[in-house]
Amino acid sequence: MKARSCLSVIARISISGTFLFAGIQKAAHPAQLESEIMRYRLVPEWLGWASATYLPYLEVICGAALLFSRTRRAAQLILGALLFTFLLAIASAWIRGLDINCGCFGSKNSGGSDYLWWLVRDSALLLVLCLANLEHARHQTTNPTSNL
Amino acid sequence: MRLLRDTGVLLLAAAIPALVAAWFHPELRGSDRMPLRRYEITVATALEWGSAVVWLDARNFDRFTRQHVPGAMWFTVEDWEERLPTLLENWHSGMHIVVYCEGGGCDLSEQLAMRLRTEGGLSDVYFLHGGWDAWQARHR
Repeated sequence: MKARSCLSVIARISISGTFLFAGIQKAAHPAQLESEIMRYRLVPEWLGWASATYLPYLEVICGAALLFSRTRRAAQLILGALLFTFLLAIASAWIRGLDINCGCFGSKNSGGSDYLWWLVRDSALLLVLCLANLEHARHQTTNPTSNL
Repeated sequence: MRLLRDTGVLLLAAAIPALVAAWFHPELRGSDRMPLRRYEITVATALEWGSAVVWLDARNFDRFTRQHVPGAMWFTVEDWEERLPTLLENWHSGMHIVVYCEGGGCDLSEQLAMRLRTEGGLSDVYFLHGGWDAWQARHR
């Protein structure tokens, strides 16, 4: 039982760190992120700019919020929705044969389109997020006073 | 209900630094801010690609001989037939091609990049935001 809770905490810290890192990287290079968003050919220019301005900070705030019991569920909900959206966008670009950079970790990408790896990575993150959420819910049911 | 409220709080909390960035971040602020066009990249991105870049100078030959990005090849649309084979000899899969011209106002680099993509059959071709001026500003 304790081992499962420990794993859940480790999973949350890992995802938190991942989104904090990704958000800070993207926030430092918003023009590059905007360019990468536009290469998906899914949104108009104004929305590309707005996304490049807002998403990095949303990732940072939610990444940090994952570490606090009060805001954990909301952060999981938002990050889950973000990951799901990223998965759809990457899959759609792959299907349309676009030449894109992922845009997932700011400008530190290799430049090639490695769709399969991006999909596997984001799916794994989403899965871990869901499992951590389920474990947390189960833990709260059995220990309603716990803050873990 | 609490989940909904907390979600709203987080969404709003992220909007505050985003608004500050929109106002103060040099890449986002100002009425003259030019969003990057498709296949346009910044000097910072090109530098991060490091040695995996073939630089193409699309300015006139006189300016090229005076000064250019280290290792750059001179390549203009007019000399397409002559220059393309040389470029293909120097390029290999996995390398990015970055074309630049004089500065923000020129469009020779974009024209050449698009032609290399369409007629040259190369997919990893980009043009430099701000051109040679941006490169020089970065290396001053």
